[in-house]
Amino acid sequence: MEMSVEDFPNKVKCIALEGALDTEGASTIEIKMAAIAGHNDFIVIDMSKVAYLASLGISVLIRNAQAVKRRGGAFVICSPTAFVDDVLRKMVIQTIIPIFQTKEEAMSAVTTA
Amino acid sequence: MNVLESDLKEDGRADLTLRLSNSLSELKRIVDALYAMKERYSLSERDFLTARLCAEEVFTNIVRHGFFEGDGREVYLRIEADADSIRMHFQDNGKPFDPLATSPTRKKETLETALAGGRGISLIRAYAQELRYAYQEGYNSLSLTIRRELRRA
Repeated sequence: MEMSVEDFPNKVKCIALEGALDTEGASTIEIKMAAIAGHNDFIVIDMSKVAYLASLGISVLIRNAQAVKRRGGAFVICSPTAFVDDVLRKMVIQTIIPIFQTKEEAMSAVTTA
Repeated sequence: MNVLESDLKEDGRADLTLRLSNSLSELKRIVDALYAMKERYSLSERDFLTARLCAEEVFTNIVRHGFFEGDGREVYLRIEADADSIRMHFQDNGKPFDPLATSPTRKKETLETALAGGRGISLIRAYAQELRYAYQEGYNSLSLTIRRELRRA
């Protein structure tokens, strides 16, 4: 699992994930994502290159979203692939973490949340 | 891959059996086995990912909850596929654990109240059409069936 971070205006950080967010992938990114979520208030998770998502990957997303929310920030997901979108919606994650189909929508929403 | 058996039957059914140690590092062998079945028996990407998800969640549960760490026990996984479905049978001699005994419904959650973990069994229930558990003669046995997606002719 690869992870890259890009800065955008209004202090938005976009974390782009690539690969499988499975048990191994979740442990690979957990500390790195927590370090970013611990110091930034507006985070977009770009999942356009994540083909697969398992329960431990969902756990990482929720833990980091909660950390950001506790400081009054916003944490959203954008551009999930078809299977990942299906997994997220079957687990009703969209009621916990907003999911947007495009990065532009997510960027706009994260600063107005 | 250390497959115990791998066969393509005359009627088009395929099956494969793996002997796994109780370590999460074995997930890679499960994925490799499923990928080999995908290639050989034309599983769609969606079927492959669904089978991978169910297998990962079941196996992770067995390793995390069914054993004492490092006790050297084993898990057997048999995977069968035909034109309509993929079936997986897990057998292990760990502590008795019926994953189906947990409540199938989750309380409505908000970000503040959500538990980060505990979605593995919910995922299995969401993607598998048939689930059966039994504990017999010292072995947990869990079988699940995944209906394959319809393919265009």
